Amino acid sequence: MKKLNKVMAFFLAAAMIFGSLAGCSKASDKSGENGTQTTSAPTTAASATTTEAAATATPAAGIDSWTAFGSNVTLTIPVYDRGVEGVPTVNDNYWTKWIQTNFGDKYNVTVEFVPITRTDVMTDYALLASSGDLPTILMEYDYPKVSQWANDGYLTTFHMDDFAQVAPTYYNRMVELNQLPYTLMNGETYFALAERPYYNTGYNFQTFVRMDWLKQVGYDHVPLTRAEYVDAMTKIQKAGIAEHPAGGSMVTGVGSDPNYAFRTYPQNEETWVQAGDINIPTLGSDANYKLLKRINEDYNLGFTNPEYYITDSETDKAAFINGDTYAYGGYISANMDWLNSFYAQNPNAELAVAPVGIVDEAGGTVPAYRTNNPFGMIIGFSSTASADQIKAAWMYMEWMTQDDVLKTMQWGIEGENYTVDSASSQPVSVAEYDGESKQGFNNNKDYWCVTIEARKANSIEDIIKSLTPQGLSQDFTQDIIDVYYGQKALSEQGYGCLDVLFSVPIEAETEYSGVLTEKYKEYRDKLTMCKPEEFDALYKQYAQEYLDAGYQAIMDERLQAYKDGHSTKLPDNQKEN
Amino acid sequence: MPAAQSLQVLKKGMVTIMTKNKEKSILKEEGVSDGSRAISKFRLSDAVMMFILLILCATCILPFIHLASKSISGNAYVIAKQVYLWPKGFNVDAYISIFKDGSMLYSMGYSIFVTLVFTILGMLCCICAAYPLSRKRLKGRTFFTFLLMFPMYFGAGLIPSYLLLKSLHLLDTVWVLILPLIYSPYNMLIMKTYYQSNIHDSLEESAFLDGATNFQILGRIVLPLSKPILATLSLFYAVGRWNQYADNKFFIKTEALKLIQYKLYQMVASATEAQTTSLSEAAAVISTPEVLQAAAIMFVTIPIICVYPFLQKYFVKGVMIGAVKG
Repeated sequence: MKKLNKVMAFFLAAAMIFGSLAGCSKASDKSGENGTQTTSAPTTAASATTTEAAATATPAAGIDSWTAFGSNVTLTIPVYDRGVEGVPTVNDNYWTKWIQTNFGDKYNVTVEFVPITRTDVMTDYALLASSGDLPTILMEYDYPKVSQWANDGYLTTFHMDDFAQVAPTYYNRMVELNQLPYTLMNGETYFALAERPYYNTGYNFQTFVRMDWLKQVGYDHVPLTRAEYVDAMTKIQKAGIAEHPAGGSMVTGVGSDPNYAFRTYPQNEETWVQAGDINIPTLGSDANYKLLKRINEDYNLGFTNPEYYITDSETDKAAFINGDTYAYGGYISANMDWLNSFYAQNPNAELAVAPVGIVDEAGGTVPAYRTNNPFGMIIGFSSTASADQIKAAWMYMEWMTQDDVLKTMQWGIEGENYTVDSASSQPVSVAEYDGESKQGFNNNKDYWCVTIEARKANSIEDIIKSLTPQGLSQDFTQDIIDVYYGQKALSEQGYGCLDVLFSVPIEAETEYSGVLTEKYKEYRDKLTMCKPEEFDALYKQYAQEYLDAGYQAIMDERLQAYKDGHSTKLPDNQKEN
Repeated sequence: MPAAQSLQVLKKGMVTIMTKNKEKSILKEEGVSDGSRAISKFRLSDAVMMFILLILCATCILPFIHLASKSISGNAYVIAKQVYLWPKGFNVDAYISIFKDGSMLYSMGYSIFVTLVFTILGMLCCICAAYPLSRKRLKGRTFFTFLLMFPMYFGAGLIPSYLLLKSLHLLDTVWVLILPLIYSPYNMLIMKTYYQSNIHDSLEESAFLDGATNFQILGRIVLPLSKPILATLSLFYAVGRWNQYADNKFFIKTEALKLIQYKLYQMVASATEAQTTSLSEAAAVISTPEVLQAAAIMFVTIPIICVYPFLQKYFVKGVMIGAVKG
């Protein structure tokens, strides 16, 4: 009996060890865990037959040619469940019912919304895929996620002509915005793309600086060159206004230290491809070297908070609010809590919106910046959906694109959710509206994001007006409009930089990104805090270690994907001849 | 032995016992006086211990006070990280909005209901497994024990569990929060060990002789004798359910079926992730204000804190009660 117990104990222990080790498989295998449950071969949606009247692709395309489906079709659409207190239930509210009444009932479609946990999108979709319950539409903002879905067999391919037949407004807009190249993966059409208006400027992200400080030290404008910046910060320090005016917070590793301003323009396409997207820092590149050298200089000049490496971003934000640092930036909205808080703490302060940069040859920078993707939501269609369901999805997207529908979804009901400004005849949302037709998160955005990323308005001026923070002692509308036009001009000169997108998964990224992120955090802190004379030698050493830890493999794979034609290309006005 | 002699021996014995008792009482007196001296004297080691205990208490109490202060402060001060242990810009708007909204109140009531049902069913399940397995007369109990203990070490993983629950039509129902977890191998082990060491076979045998059935023995003899373990494990079950939110995340999609702990998790997680989400969406992502988060956490925690002092002794008991005695 004792012997039997020993044998049993041995097997149990062995099984436990193997169970534990199962989690140590290659990261790339994990996608398999999430996705292999439904690796059915993608079906081509348009090749399947559809029912009765709605199915026929008549020459008279578009919404006017639609008739109700013969038998009821269930259309499932994902909607983010963001866990924000005070917004209506995401899959059952006034607006989901409104969609059912105005779209679903008209075309014999039952529209169901599937909540997707915003903080854990991939797991939610993997579970739905495993049980064969994928929603008809699968959509995400991040290209790598949708390309993984396509590779895992979650998505179907389709013919763009069929899509154009059902949803001509949507299709024509994609053509007009030159989005069609992004709808393909491996030569097959997988996606339809929503519009992101004014994507090539970062008008909705603004940096606010302490103009009152600058005035105190003799500046009547925000410094634009490195020399001016160093001079202003030194004077601010000497005047005793702030000890460490630049502040700073710990690097997260992921998406840290974008270096667009330090690159050489026009860019070499291969170098651009190898730099990839913003997620894995490019330690070892010329641009990164120049950037870190400057960060090191700022640290040694005492501009940076000496404890930045243990300061989180919220504490850094609080330092600005409390009047300890010079600048802070963020995405703008009509109600910005940190700006409200700033003026509450510093009632006499004066802020300025940081203007767009200039070419600073002595400082070694250009006014380049990262633009957004030229599309909003990337929308794919379930490989398990029927042809009718996919047709209903296309109809839904087209219907949502219609001006009257979009305006109602975005602004709500006149007299309740919004009023019309008599001077500009533009709608103005009623703040704190809490009635029956209360909109979901960010003016129902999670419903209308299927077609566009910003609320419709007559012009960029109107959009900026509706986004500019309200209720403050200063009005930044015109400044932000100026920044927009400045960036638009820079974009035309080739300084609006878009990252490369790959239509195949870069396996090395999945495998090494975790290690590289951690290494970058460590090296970056050491390079920031070392003495200036030690910088070059240390940089060389860390860059080599970083390459050896997997960054070289990532760059090689990216380059190969580019050579194989699986990546986007640089626009002509940014490409080195 | 003559009577006189034996009387003498008895006397001697008595004297010896009395002497020993006297010595014992003297020793005892000395011991008491030593002890009292130790208590009355304040030594350096006491000061060190008190200091360490104070720090440990502070690590528990200060974050709570900090949170409480935040929940009744102005959001402008909270974002500026100016609120530490004393509220600034005092207001109770966050609490008003929690009570006005009603969804948190509903979730609280619903979570209490789920916890109660879960605890009752969990205890029933646990007793029904632990009692038979603790009895030697059950044939094949080693095999059944092995089967029932197996899930403690090995789990199927998320996706197989999800598929199973889907096949059982439990997904997105209140039962998915109750049924899968009511059997706990750990709790069963504790209860089984308790029965093995505290309920003797002789008790059962006598009941059998009086004609009692198995259920009568369980209901009339075993359960009344195991009140301490029943109380402790009920507490374990209730606290386990109350604190668990991962199953909500994956198996529940309907808002009305979400437990309050999950709602709190979502609120805090969305705020933590706001920056990443902003980058992904290239737009401002509004999360629940920090003041409202703090108020929601207080709202959920205060009832537990009120009840906890009355229950904590069972936690301490629970650690020892099922331990193997030998």
